[in-house]
Amino acid sequence: MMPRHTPFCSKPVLVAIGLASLCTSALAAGGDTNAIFERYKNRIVQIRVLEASSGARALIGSGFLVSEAGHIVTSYHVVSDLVHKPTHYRAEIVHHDGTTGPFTLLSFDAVHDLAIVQTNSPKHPYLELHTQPLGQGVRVFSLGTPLDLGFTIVEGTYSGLLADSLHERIHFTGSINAGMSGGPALTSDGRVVGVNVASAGNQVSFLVPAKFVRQLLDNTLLPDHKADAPALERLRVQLMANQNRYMEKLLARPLTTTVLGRYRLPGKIAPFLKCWGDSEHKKDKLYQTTSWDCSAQNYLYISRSQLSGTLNFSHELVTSDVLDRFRFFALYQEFFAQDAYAPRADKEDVGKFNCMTDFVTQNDLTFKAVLCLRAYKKLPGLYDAVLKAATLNDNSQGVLTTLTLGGVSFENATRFARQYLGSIAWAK
Amino acid sequence: MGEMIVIEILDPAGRVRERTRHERLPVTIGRSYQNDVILDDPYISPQHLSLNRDERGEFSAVDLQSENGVFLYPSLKRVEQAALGHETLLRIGRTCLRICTPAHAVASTVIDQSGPHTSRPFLNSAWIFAGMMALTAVVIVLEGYGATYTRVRLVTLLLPALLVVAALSGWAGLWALASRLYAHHSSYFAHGVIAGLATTSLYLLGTVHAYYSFAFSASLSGALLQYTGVTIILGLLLYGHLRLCVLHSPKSLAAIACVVAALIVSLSGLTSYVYTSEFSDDLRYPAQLKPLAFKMVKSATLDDFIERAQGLKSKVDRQAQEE
Repeated sequence: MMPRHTPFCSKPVLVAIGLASLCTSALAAGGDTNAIFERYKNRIVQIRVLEASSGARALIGSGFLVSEAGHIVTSYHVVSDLVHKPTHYRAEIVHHDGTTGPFTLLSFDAVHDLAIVQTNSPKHPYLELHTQPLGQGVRVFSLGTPLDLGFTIVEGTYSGLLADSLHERIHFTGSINAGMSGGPALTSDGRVVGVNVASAGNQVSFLVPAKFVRQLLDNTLLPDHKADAPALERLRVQLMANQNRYMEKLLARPLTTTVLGRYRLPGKIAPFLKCWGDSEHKKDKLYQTTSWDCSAQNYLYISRSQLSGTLNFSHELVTSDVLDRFRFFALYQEFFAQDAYAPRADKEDVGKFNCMTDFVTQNDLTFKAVLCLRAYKKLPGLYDAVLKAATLNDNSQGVLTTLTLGGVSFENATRFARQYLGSIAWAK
Repeated sequence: MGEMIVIEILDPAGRVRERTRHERLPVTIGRSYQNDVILDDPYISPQHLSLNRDERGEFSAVDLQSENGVFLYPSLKRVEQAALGHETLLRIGRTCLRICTPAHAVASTVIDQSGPHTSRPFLNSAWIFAGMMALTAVVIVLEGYGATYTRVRLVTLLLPALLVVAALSGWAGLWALASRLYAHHSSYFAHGVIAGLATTSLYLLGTVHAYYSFAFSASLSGALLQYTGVTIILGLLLYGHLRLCVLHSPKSLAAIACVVAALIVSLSGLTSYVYTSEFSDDLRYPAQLKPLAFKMVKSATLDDFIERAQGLKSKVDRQAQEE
C-alpha cells in the first residue's frame, strides 16, 4: 500500500545535524587544494550554538567572512535557535587559530537557508563572491568544520544548477558533512560560488548559489535595513512571500493531469515535482492497486522541530472484479483511513489538525472529501493543510487522492484545494 | 399452648439466626450443656438466664447471678429480673436474644408487586439459548466476511465467532453462580440469552454507526449515537443479569444498572478524550466508505465545500491561540 519510492528518502538531508555517517572525504592530494586551504583558512570560522545556561554545545556549523567590517555568512539552519529561542541559546565564533568571540545575528533568508552575522572585531581578511554560473565540471573546493573535526577542505566539481528545483541549488560532487553547513564553496581563485547547505549522500551535495548571498548582503547593508523587527516576524514575512510566489505560479494555469484507470487526476503539475508510479497485481489478492506519488524535492527548515514548504500528493486507484460491493468498500475504506503525511512539527509550533468532511459532486463525480487544517502558532497566517478525497461512483473501482501542503496561507490552501479537486474528472 | 415461648437468637444486623420454641417453662439459657438453650458465646456464664412464668401467668426473665449480667433493650439497663412482654429484646454476653410470647403480633403481609420473577421458563430455555448463540455467531461471521477483502478462509471467520460464544457461555456461568448464591436458582440459559442479545446488539450498533457516519458525514453525532447506544445496551445487560440474581425491586435494579453502565461508558469516553487531546499528527475524520446508495445527504458543490473551510479556519485559529 505504500509507494515503493518514498520521495522523502531521496530528499536532501540537512547537514548541520543528524548526519552521523562519516564519509571518507574526497580530499585531493593536489598541491593546489593545500594552497587554497592555507590561503583562505583564516577567512573561515566555526559557528557554535551553545545552550545558554550550561554553555554546552547544542549545534555547530561553519561560516565565512564577506566584509572587512566582520560580516559573516552562514546557514539559517545553523543559527535558527537564535531566532526561535533567543533566551535559551547563545552563539560564538571560533576562528581558525582557536580564538573565540561573540556575534550578533543581523539578517537571514530562511527560504534560501542563509544568515548574516557580524563580529565586533573588525579588519578581517574576507572572501569575494562569484555570482555567475560556472561551467559544469569546474573544480570547486568546499571548506568547513565537519563533525567538529577541525577546519577541512573538500574537493569536488560544480555540477550545474539543480534542474526542476523549487529553490535554486547548485549540485556539488563533493562530500559535505554535518558541521560544514554555512561554509563556502570556492573556485580555485578563492571566490565563493555557493554556501554548503545539504547533502543527499555520497558525493551528492548542494550549495546555495552566491547570488542569494549577494542579495541578502546588499539588503543587510542598506541604510534602512530594519533589524529591529522581531526575528519571528521577519521569518513569517519571508515564508508568506515565498509560498505566495510558488503558489501563484502553480495556480496561474490549469493543473496538468494524468490518467489513472478511468479517472483524470492532477499529474506532474510543476517541473519541481518528482513523480513516481507503481502498481500491485498479486494473484492471491482479490484487488489491484495503482499508485501515483508526486512531491516537491525541497522543503524549508524553520526550526529544529519544524519543517515547512512541502507540497506532495498521491493517488491510489483500487480495482476489484471479484469483491461484492460491501467487501469492496471495506477494502476501499482501509485506504481512505490511512494516515497522510504531515510536515514535521511539534506542539509548540502548530495546533492540532481539525477536519471537515462532506460529499462533493463535480464533473459528474461524487467524492467523499475531507479537508484538514492546522495553524502555525508562532507564525500566524500559515497553515498545514491535508485534502483527501475518494470517488464513490463505482462499486468495483475507485480512486483516492491525498494532498498535503505545508506552510501555506489559508487563501492559497483553499485555492489550491479547489483547483486540485476541480481537475479530477472522468477520463474521456 | 398457653405456656409457649419462642426464643430467637439474632445476628448483629438484627436478623434471626436461630429460632427455638419452648412448650414448658422454665427455660434455662447459658453456656453449660445442662441448659435448654446452649450458647457458645464466651461472655455468657454457664448458667446465665432463666425464663419463668409465675402463678399469675406473667412471663419473666431472671439473671442466674451471671458474671456479665443481663441487659434490656433498648435502654441497655442491667436487670436482675425483667417482665417479658409480647416481644422483649435482651442482651447477654455478646449475644442478642428476642423473646416472644404467643401474643406477639407479626407485621402485615407485603404485597408482591414485582411478579413471580424467581422463575423465567420462557427465557431460561436451552433452545432459546442455543438459538441466541447461533444468531450471535452468524452476526459475527457476517461482520467478519463483510470486512475481509482477501480470500476467505472459513476457519478465520468461524474462530472469532466460536471464541465469543465460548466467552459468553463462561460469562453466563459466572452470573448463574451469583444467581444460585443470592436467588437460589441459577437461570444459566437466561443469563446466556441476555449476554448473547447484548453482544449481537453491540455488533449491530457498530454497523449502524458506520453507515450513519458515512451517510451523514457525521463525526460528532456519530460518536454520540455510539455512546448512547452502548450505554443503553450495557444498562439492559446489567439489568437483565441483576434481575435474575437479586430479589430487589426492579426500580432500584434499573437505577443501579443505569449508573454502572453510564460510569463505564463515561470512563471509556474520558480515556479516549484524554488520548485525543494529546498533540499528534493524526487526522480525525469519519473515514467510513460505503456504496453511494447509502448517501443520505445532498452533495455539496466544490464551491460550497471550499466556502465552508472558512469555519474550519476560525476553529484552528482559535485552538492555536488557546493551546
